[in-house]
Amino acid sequence: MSAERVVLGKYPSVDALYGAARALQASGHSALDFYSPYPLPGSDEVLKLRRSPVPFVAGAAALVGVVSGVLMQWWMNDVDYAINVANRSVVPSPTWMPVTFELGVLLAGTSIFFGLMALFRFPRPYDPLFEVEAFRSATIDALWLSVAVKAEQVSTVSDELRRLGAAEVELVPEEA
Amino acid sequence: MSALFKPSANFIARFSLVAVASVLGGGLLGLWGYFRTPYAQGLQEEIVQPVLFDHRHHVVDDLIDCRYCHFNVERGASAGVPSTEMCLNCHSQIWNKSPKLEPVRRSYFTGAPIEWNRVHQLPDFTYFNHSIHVGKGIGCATCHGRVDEMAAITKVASLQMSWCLACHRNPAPNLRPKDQITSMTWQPPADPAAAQLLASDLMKSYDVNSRVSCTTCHR
Amino acid sequence: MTPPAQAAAEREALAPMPLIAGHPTDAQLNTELLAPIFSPNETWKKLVGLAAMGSGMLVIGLTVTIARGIGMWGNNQPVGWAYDIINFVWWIGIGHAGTLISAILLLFQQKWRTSINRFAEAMTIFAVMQAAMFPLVHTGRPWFAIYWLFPYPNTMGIWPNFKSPLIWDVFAVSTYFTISLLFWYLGLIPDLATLRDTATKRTQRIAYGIFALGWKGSSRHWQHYRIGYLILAGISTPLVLSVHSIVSFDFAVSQLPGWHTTIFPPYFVAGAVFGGFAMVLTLIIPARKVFRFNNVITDRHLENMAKVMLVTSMIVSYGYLMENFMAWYSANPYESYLFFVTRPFGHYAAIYWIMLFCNVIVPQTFWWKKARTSVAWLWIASILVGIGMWAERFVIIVISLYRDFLPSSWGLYAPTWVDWFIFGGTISFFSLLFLLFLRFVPSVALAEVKELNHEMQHEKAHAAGGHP
Repeated sequence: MSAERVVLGKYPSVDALYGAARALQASGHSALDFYSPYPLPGSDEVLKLRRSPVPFVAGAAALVGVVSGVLMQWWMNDVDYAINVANRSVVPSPTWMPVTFELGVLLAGTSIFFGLMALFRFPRPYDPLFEVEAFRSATIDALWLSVAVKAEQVSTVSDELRRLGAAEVELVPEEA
Repeated sequence: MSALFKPSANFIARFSLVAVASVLGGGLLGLWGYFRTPYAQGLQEEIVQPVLFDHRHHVVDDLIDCRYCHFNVERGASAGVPSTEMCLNCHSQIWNKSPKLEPVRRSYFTGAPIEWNRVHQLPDFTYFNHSIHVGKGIGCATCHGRVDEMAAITKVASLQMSWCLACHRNPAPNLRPKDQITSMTWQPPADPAAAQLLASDLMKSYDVNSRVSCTTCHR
Repeated sequence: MTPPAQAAAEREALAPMPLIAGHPTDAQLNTELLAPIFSPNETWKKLVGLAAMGSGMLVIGLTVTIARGIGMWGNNQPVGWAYDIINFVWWIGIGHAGTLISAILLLFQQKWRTSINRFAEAMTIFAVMQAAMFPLVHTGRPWFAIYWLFPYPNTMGIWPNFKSPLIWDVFAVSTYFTISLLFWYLGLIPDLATLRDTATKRTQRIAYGIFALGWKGSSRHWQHYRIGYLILAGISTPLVLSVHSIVSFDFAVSQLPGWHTTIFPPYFVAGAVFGGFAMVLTLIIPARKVFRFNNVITDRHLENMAKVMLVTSMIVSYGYLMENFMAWYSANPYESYLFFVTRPFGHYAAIYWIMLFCNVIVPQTFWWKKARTSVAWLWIASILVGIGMWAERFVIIVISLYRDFLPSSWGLYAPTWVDWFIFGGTISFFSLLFLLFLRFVPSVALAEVKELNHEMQHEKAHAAGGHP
């Protein structure tokens, strides 16, 4: 397995960033990523990202919440310790709606949050990218592009990034 | 040029999150478990009394029925703790010079009751009546255990609400014929079918029903 | 002036005030909005001192309550609910505007939410914390109350009664708090990363670095992040509507005149948003002055909030009107007595009239642009509305209770010093949390303001006729 290195290029505008990405993709590099202080419109298409699984996670969790909410109330109030309130109909009781709804929301919300953390593999305070001092601007005001290449291609790709308009090119150090 | 955190920070961050979660979760689980231990329920504690009274001797050797001392059990909410005079019914005649009975004599002559230490304490918001339980065929030993084997009385039932409810939901297995109420050794028939037959007979003849309404015990 | 240029000038005059003043770059926005974190502020220090001292009242009030019991409060039969529930409903209502701004306005793509949503979300979380304290403490001995509140396998073998609105309340409030907190923190992660990368002191960088969790602004992350954030906003919207509806069920499901009204859920939700927006204004007007956020929290934001208050005030007024109409239409003597005698002329009539003045009359001034754009009047009006909404809860709770069905059970209510300490203490504690938030956390959503800034510059470029 030949060692992979990551090369970073800083671009002055979104158009230049996307142009560089498309050129790199045309020359066979697909392990690309952008870094920006705010979400870039259209980056999903340029990077050819698959659809995010987050909506399915949220939907499934909401369903689990609702179903378990109904089952919980039914088992606790009608089976395990039946509470007969004025002989009103028991199953399904309209009085279950609030708790069922809240549980659906609670599960959906928490699984979105923790699902995102799992997708990002957070917490991850260390990332090799943070070794590059100039990369700090990625969360402030700069647009960066990263491309993973084989070790022997580093210099050619660096030159190409510059040719494609990079104001600055950095090589990410190997993981210590 | 170096990153703010070392690569090991990733492990530390994840490990500390897992650790915090385990401590919190483990703590809750620990509390949950603690209240289910005999220790938390006060089950293994032998309650020492001001007089060295031994139930084993009185029940087994002397064959005194429970109701001789706990005279109120069939009529009242409380089973009744015997008065000093009750002790002296016998002990004015036998062992009347024993130094071990000195507190009893002192109580008799001064009129100050013996301060027995309470073993079973129900909270005031719980209504409990001995007579209905005894009258419906619940034996002494069912809740108080083998008192005939205890030097000092020890609680054998947690008196937690789930314990009460277990029997209130399904009283049948705990019923016995009323003439066996104070027996320490009565056992239901060994044959399950016969036991079930007896239980359903008793349910019917003593008119025993499941009672789980809140107001049964909290009135 | 050529005709097109003249038309452009006229259009300009009619256009709403800008959402971001000037044409700042990302770096400028960064410096400006993070300034409170890097530069100490004397006014802030004094206010924190004051709020910390005030929070002492809360400590005293709670200690006395827990040590001596809730007998230290003024409520007693027939007024079994008083300051505890008034303050609970007041605080939780205040929280609602935060979720409305951050979630509902996001779904409706209202761009003006961007620079105030972080404030509003923080306000929600801190207000819900104050709110949750009241029902918890009013159980008397909260450590014995856990089994009525949460279904867990307890040694009693019993479960909460899910037919009780009080249980719905527990689920609603705890879900609301959890989701608001996660939503807030998720929004904060990119800004905490910005802080980590902007700060120069190592301790600051490490502290923010820990909470930023390693955010690097990757587009692969932004993709999931945006959709996740949007769905959280989507589920927060029905959630916020459900929470105050459920709070209103505490009353509406009962059988007391002034409580058992079917209009309660929408009327409570509108009232919550109304009072919450008032609180946002009360907080944001001084904050933007002290921390010089005028460029991103412009007069247009304040004006929009005034408009929302006008609308919600009208909904609340309609609720008042409908309650009275129903009391008359039902011809029920108890209802009529409450609405036509006890409320307007009873012992607490002054509070009823304060409620009507603050909630119905004061917001009517917002029909005039002059009132909506006068910062001083907005601030005064927002405080009046805060008082009015508190008075509304007093009217609903105490006035319905103190005249029981049987005149032999009538009685008056007066708060004790403990009630006042706890109430004053929650206001101080809320302020303390809010002040700490302003100083240590990016109080304007940086990433979102930067995004909006680019969008607007992009639009401007289009409008000018230039090709993208």
